[in-house]
Amino acid sequence: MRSDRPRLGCGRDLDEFWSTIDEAPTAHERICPDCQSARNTLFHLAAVTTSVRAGARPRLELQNEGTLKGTVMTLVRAEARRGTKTPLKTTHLGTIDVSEQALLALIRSAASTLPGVRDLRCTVTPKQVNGEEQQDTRDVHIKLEVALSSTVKIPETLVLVRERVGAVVEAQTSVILRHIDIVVADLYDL
Amino acid sequence: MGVSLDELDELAIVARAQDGDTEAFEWLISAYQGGLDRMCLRMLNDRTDAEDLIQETFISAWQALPSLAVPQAFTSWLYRTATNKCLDILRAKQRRPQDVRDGAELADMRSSSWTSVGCGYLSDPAKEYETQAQMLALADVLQTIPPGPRACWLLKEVHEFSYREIAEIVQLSESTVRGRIARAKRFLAEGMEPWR
Repeated sequence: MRSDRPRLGCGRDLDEFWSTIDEAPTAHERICPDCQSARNTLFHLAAVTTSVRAGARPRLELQNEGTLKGTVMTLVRAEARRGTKTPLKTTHLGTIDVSEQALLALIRSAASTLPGVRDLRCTVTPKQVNGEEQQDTRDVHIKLEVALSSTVKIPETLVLVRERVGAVVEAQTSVILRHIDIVVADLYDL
Repeated sequence: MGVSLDELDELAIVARAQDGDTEAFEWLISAYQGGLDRMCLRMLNDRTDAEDLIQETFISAWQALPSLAVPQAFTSWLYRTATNKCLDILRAKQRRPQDVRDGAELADMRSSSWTSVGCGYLSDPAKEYETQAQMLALADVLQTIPPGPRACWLLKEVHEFSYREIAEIVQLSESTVRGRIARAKRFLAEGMEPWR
């Protein structure tokens, strides 16, 4: 029942008062001592909150930061090492693989050396024939999402990205990127 | 050579982490650990629980990143996961008897999560003492309000998220979030009245 709800001395519903506290004071609130007192209470809270925001950071960030990050990253790296591998070459001793992470790092590095290009996401898929991965083709399919500076010409830049990525990856791994899909996912101001 | 992570915007770094780039994920931990630390400590008032929870949150994040629809969703996902875990812990604590801690341990925990003794950000020692006392009082009052409004208030007033962002984090309507924050403010302001 609304009549059971707490009210300020002036009769104003307390919940309604607090729900509009971020707004400019009404004509009533400017002259009502009860509303002014309630507002002052809030301003005091705001002042202490500002101190909490400003003051509590330095000491907290020193505590156990390295330990926690180290623990998480040990697990993350262990998972990453177990990740997918792409075949590089088959010799009489067996297949030489490159980790997908290493290949992705190389692709990103190659793409982002071009001015006005930032890589966003990249996926690598070994060539498939009839739905099955080919183990010795050194022929993979990549999909690269990039963000481009608004100052570059998109068609010419995409040609450059395709050439640069294909050349760098082939030179350093012998993997042939026959199929490079590039999606312009974002534009940014430079 | 590629660009360093510090030259990229955060969305590009999240996207890299989504593709399994461990260096990008480590950057994200550094960027978000402090904020999650403050949020969870103030929600739980227990450093051990908070640290375990943050660790679990980042591990969940690494596993969930590939399926995150867009990089823009990362921040709200991270805070949503941490907030939900905090609420789960608080619910579980309500169902079982409270741990017995001695007064000194509680005082130290509360002090380390709310104040910055000796950091020198205030030059007047008397003023600094008064401010520290008020911050500790706020910490005490905050623990008396329900966890839901407490989380919304912290996200708004200490972590400076917008109402819309908080609605995404706690998965409630924006009007419900506004109501919860107003309610929390009312409790806190009234609880802080003796400290004016």
